[in-house]
Amino acid sequence: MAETTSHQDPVAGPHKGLSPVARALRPWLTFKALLGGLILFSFIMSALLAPYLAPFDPNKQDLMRAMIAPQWLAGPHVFGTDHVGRDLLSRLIYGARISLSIAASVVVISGAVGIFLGIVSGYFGGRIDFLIQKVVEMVWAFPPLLIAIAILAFLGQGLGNLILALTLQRWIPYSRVVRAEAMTLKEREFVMAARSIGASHLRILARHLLPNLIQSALVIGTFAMAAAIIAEAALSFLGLGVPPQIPTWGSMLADGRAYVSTSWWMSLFPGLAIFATVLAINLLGDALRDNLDPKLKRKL
Amino acid sequence: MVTYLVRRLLGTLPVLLMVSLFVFLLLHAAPGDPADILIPDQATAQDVAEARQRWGLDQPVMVQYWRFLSSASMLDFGRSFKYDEPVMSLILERFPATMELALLATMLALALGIPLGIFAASRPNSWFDNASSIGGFFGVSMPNFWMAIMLILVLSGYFKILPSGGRATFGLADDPITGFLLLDSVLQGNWDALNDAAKFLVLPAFVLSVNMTGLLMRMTRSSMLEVLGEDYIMTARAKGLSERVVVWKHALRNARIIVITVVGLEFGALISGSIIVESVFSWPGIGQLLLQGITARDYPLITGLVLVYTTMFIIVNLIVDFLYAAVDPRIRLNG
Repeated sequence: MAETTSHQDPVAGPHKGLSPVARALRPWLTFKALLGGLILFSFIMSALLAPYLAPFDPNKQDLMRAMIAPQWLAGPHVFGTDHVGRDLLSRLIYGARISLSIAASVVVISGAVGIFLGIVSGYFGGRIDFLIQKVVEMVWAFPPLLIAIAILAFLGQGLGNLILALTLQRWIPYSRVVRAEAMTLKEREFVMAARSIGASHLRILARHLLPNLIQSALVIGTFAMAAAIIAEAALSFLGLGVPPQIPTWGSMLADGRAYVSTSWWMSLFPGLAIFATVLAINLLGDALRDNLDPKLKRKL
Repeated sequence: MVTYLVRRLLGTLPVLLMVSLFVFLLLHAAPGDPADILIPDQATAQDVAEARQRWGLDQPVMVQYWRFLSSASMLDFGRSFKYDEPVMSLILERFPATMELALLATMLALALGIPLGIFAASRPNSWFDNASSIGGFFGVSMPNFWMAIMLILVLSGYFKILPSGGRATFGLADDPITGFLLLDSVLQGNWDALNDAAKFLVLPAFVLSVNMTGLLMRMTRSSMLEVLGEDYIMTARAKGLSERVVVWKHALRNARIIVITVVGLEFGALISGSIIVESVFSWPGIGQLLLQGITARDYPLITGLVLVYTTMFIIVNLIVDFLYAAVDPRIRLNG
């Protein structure tokens, strides 16, 4: 019975007397959202401000200073150095740039493709829908990550191929949810009304359907971001991601693997960065889903 | 039921066809002439001519695809450059290791995830429930390759309880019968080998099982909570059945569907995960073979493995669908 309170009109409910801004913010002031937001915000800021924050050049090698243990606040190398003497903290900060921007590009591109194909598939139905669903079926027949590994194996490494490889399967969750919603939305009165006054398909799609789908897509996008970060790190860890001279968290972890028994810090910190970022995004995604789209809870 | 099965089985054929077309196109999209790609770098002019002949590279593309398809459907993927052996025999040799790992990981996930989920659901909002929900969050956010390295660091490096990689101590096991080391050593009554194989297996299998365990736990919990609110549970309680019988017998029947769903959903992730886990633990399965093939640009090997992995995935999805139909009559009737 505890659920009844959440169904009450928010104005008449427990938040009565709060200003509209406070009322709008209220659902976001949960532990999950705050913790996730704080962690993610600090990683994004360090990625943006990397040249100002990083104490050293992330690629500057100095074999005389190789494998220094973390000095914490007692020395210049807070998290220590790697096997060729590069400062670990600086590489982590610059790594955030690459890891976060690859993940963000993957999410944006796959989101755009998935929403477009999903909305077209659901709205028009018929032969277009059949064709798109066949493509979905084929791409979905590959185990996740294997399709990315295959593409990178055949086409070679590189930033562009990496983003292509990660995008190729990730548009599908968007397209599925968007297609299902578009199919129900197109039968609703407001869409019929728009059609009856002569609105074009494009206008109906862009002005009437899209705004109603964007929230679900946003929730999927958040979880997709977390998955993309892990996938990028996994591929870089396997040596299939970006070229070795570019620091990413995954490739740092791969570097550390050979030295795990002597220099544990080389493996601990990059992994911790991946874990913390993914955890933060998952926490935010959960909060986002609870607030925007409780229906999705069962689908995801 | 039979019509459903047959229709579902036939439905996978076009998918397999499209998958093979995709891999064929990838092979052609790879930089350089396919003839250079399909034969090793040190090949002579005669080798190149033979390869052109073998792969029919002077023929139109559609003919080439047809040749590719017909040899692939006979499980003939050519010879590996790196090992100079037929690709299929290399794959078959390594396949049991991967299956052993994947099966044990699945069993571990079932043995841990379901009881934990039921336990959490039978005491909602207790400390255990909250702890397991936080644990679930950590589980889905944890990159398994990092967890593997950290466990090796602690358990093999620091405490020295478990080996850090490989599959068995050399020379301990007898000649393979099935290729599944645990099973082989039981069949041969070689208990030292069993103990040894188990020690090598436990860490990789645990790492591989973590994601599935988390998902199973969460889904078992939420569906148990739903079921425990149903009328028939109230009836069972009103009859005076003990709480244990209600939870473990009546409500758990519904867990069958969750098990099938989660195992089906997560199997693909398990396959991809096994490639990484095999790499970290130097596990001699097909995942490691794939990575070695990629490093050596051994295209016949990569092609064969991608097709084998994908077929495996499609078959598991097919089995999952059949199990659904067997367990839930509604699917059978509507399908």
